[in-house]
Amino acid sequence: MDSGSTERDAVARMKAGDIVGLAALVDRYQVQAVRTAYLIVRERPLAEDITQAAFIRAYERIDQFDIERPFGPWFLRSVANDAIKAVKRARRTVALGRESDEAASPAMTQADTAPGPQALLEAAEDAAAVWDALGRLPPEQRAVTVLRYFDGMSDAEIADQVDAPPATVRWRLFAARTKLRTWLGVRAE
Amino acid sequence: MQAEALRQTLSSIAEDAIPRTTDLWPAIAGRITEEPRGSDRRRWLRLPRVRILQAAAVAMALAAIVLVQTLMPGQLTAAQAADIARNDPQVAALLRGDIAIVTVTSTANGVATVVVEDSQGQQVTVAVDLRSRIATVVYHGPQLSDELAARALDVVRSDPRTSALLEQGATIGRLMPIQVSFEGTDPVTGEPTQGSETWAQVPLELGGKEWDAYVDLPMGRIDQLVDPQGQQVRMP
Repeated sequence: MDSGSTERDAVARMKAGDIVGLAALVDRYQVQAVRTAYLIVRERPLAEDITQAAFIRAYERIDQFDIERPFGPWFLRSVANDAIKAVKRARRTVALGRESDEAASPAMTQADTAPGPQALLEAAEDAAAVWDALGRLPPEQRAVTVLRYFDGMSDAEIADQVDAPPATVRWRLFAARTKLRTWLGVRAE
Repeated sequence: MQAEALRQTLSSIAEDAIPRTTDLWPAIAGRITEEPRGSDRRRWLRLPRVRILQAAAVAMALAAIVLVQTLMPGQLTAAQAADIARNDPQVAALLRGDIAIVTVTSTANGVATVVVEDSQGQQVTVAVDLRSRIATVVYHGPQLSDELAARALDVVRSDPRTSALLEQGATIGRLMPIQVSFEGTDPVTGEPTQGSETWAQVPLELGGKEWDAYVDLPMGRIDQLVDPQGQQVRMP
């Protein structure tokens, strides 16, 4: 049985009210969804909460889902949008100056406590710089960057995920790339 | 940093923070078991009877108002014109997001002008005849002022990349304003920065393909020219 029919079976079970169908979809998509949310909200507990809520909402609203469509993009759309909303909510309550230390960089921590070969150290420094730069992007630009470079989506797929026209997505991606280039370039100098 | 390197770095960050062994199922199953599907409806049914009676009374009053207005035809109120614009199928077809704001900007000569804006900032202006109740979509989308549109066109005609497209027969589509906001930390001074400017997005179509020029109006130059593949076209 291919993965598509397995997924359709899982969705069909959910539509019939069988929680086992949801379990299969959680097993398949939870890691990608939490990682996507984490790259946008930058906090693991919040990323897990967002993903849990999105799965429960998918279970509640599965009747609205067309079984012929792939579940993954439909679900990730919900996760990405919730993550953007969570960041915006946080920005309203957190002072601008706190953003740079809103979440410790895991790569930086690793570099500080576990010095290894030169290549590992350089990779960790790159990761820390990217993590810092990613956190400085506005939420929408951060989300399109994650969906493009982490989830490997096209402009059209991202447009569908974030309910924005493709031209807007292209604009956000270019604005994000320009900023990342500047910030990462400044750091490298 | 190249795209592939960025992809690998993001994957590495995400894999370090969120291990493959992450298992949300116990928590999700617990929450679903505590609050099974359809529980919202049952909660609503457990509302105090007085609250239900109050809601029923309000609903009956509203129904009475609607009935009276139906039996006594006359000019629509501004609020009714706004409702007609909000629910017009032409408006729904033009706007992508959920309707966020409906504003009656004027009522003159028996016509209400209603601006309907969706959650993405796209606008549709609707003229509602207050007597016949006919809604006419006047134009849609936000518009640049004539002065800014002329400035954007000057920039597009003078830039060597877009002028080359125009010489090949490219046509210019509808100009759209873009509100460019920036906030964050200045990488040089470390100071918090924040601001907003109006730019123009100018689509150019050639041979069934579309380029988008993002014109920085305050600076009088094209900030980005994006080709049909989504790649930036650099200066020759």
